[in-house]
Amino acid sequence: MTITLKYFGSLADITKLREEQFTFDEETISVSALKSKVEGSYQNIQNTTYTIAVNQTMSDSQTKIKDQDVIAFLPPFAGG
Amino acid sequence: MSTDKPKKSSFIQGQITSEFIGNSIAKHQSKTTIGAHNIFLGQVRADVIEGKTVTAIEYTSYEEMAEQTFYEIRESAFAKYELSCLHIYHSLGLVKTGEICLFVFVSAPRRKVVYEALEFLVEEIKEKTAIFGKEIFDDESYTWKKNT
Repeated sequence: MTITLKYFGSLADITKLREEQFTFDEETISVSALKSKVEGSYQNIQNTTYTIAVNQTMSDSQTKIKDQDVIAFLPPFAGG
Repeated sequence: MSTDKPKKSSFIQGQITSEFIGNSIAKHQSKTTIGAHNIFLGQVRADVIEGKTVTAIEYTSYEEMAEQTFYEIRESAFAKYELSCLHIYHSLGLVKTGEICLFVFVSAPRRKVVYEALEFLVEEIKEKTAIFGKEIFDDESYTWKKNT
């Protein structure tokens, strides 16, 4: 499966990227498994607070991710 | 999640000007069932953080998600309160201290509901919308804003 990861705000500062694609052998993975993989690639993310949206819907750690999903890493909101 | 498309953009590039706000009010003069408006304006504050003064906030957003969130917030406000209309505008990009970055405008036949609806809307926007703010200091360094 191939998924698109998007990074916003302080998280884009850490990854130096706004968007990238990840390809895995698995057909589906959980949000918590993806977090471990991404935190392995960008260790400073471990020290930040963030939430994850899957296809623009807020996820929890059990949410399943499948091929072609768009996963957004979102730092704390600061509107207004 | 709703599959309805957002009706229009709530984002404005840069500050929200007093002309824009004035024109929005004027546009409602033809809607004569309205008896009460209420307006919230969010202004960029010159916070002092560790001895450095904020001079501007640069706003970014996950726009597709934020537009959907604005749409859902609008729908829930209409379901909850008897409103004639409501409008939400938020800045993107650079907004200097003293300039307006959020404009929420609610209208109803009678006044009581507009106080409650406005507070509901502003709190929902701050809590649920994927907007990020880079607070830029006078020495051009920056920190990321968090809503409290």
